Amino acid sequence: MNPFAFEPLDSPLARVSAVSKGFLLICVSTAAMSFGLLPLLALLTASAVAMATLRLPFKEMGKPAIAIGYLALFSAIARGIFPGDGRFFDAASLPASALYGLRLLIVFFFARIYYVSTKASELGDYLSLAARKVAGSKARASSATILADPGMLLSLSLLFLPRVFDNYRKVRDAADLRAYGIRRRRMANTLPMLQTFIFMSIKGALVAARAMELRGYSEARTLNPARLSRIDAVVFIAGTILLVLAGLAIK
Amino acid sequence: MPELFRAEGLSHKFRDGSEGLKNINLRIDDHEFIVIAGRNGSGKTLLARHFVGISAPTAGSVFFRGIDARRNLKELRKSVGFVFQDTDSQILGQTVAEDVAFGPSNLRLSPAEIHERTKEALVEAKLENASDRRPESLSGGEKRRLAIAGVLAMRPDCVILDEPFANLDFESVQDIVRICRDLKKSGVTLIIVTHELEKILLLADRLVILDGGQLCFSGQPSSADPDLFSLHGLACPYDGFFPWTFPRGELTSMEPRQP
Repeated sequence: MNPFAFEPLDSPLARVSAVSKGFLLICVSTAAMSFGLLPLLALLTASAVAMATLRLPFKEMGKPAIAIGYLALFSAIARGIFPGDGRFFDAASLPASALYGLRLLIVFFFARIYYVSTKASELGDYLSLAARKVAGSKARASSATILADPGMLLSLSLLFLPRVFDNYRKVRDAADLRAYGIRRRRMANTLPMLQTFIFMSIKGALVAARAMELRGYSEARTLNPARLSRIDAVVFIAGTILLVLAGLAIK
Repeated sequence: MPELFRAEGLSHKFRDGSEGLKNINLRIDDHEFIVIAGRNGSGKTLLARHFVGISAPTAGSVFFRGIDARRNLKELRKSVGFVFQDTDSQILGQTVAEDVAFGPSNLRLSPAEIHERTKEALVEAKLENASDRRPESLSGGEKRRLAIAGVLAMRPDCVILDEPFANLDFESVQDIVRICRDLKKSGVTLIIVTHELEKILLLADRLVILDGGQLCFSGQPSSADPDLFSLHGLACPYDGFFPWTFPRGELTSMEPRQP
């Protein structure tokens, strides 16, 4: 459930700033949506080579990648079905749909590289820092809520969502062990499960909130965003070149 | 020794009218090692929650360093660490090191100081090799140690552990006891809320027993009468009294040993 599946990878990519990697991801996505087949294949090769050389795992990518197949299939059906000349399907629309699928795959690969090499807290620190800069010192002094700290909100939501699903699994397992589902599922049986699930989730959120309070949570907490280095400059330049090439491709 | 906590006529009534705590008068001094014991529902966790200001008394008061605890929350948060029994819900970081750094970063320390404290706490909790791991991948014992490390990184004057031995194997229990011993040596006030006295009472300076929300005993552990434990739903941890020790040699009876 947590897209920021960061693991301590022995790769230089983990040391590149979240901001420059984010910029590159936006540039790659823009370029992928405007490039033709050959540049797209080059981008795909580049992403695969990057993943292999940086020892990023290809595993766990299979299931999410299937969704791209479904999208490409949907695109093919939407483009080719009943072309209006009496045929059931226009096979000439298939290459365009395949190209669309390839574009999505490239964005997916680069997004995956971004997520597995980026700590959510790093991104969160940048977000909170930006919020502080926008709010300014006057607003900062008066704002005493967590809303002034989007980085913490991001971190909490990434923690909270998997816990909600974990709670659901626990409730479901407990119900299954007590023969839920053997007979036809009735609303009367499902409602107490739902009640327990909601109660557990709210309780978990309250305990987390209390833990934050007990550890002295302050929206003015110390932020430690990584400083941009030379490698970040290289990433920014690469992204900009891709944007320029994308602009040329559109023309 | 200077006073750390003082409960004066502390009572807590729940909304349904039941009483969680009844007229508790208790003083805890700096550098003390206190075990608060009692049967399930005796009010021991509730008392600890009052000490850290997350429950409000319906009568009486709790004082922290002479000031009403709930009016002294800023100082309380800096000085007193609390570890819940449910460690899963109190993990607030994406990695082990980030979770430990959560508290120090709220103290607005410099990044270097935060790093140093985090490293120190991880070493104390024997988690230095797990600093980049995701907390959900830790075992139950490691999660408990992580929760303690998160509190230690704030360098508190007092640490309160709620049921620290619950659901832990022997090795993990030993780790927690070692941390408690180290904290005692370093002069930190320790309040352990537990009914598993056999694991920790040896280290304690004082035993407090609650039953039905009332303070039933407060004194040196050695001065507690063996009958007092069973009277309040506890296993007597004294040598020859603990009922669940396994007899060497042939097992002749499945009945618990009688004191």
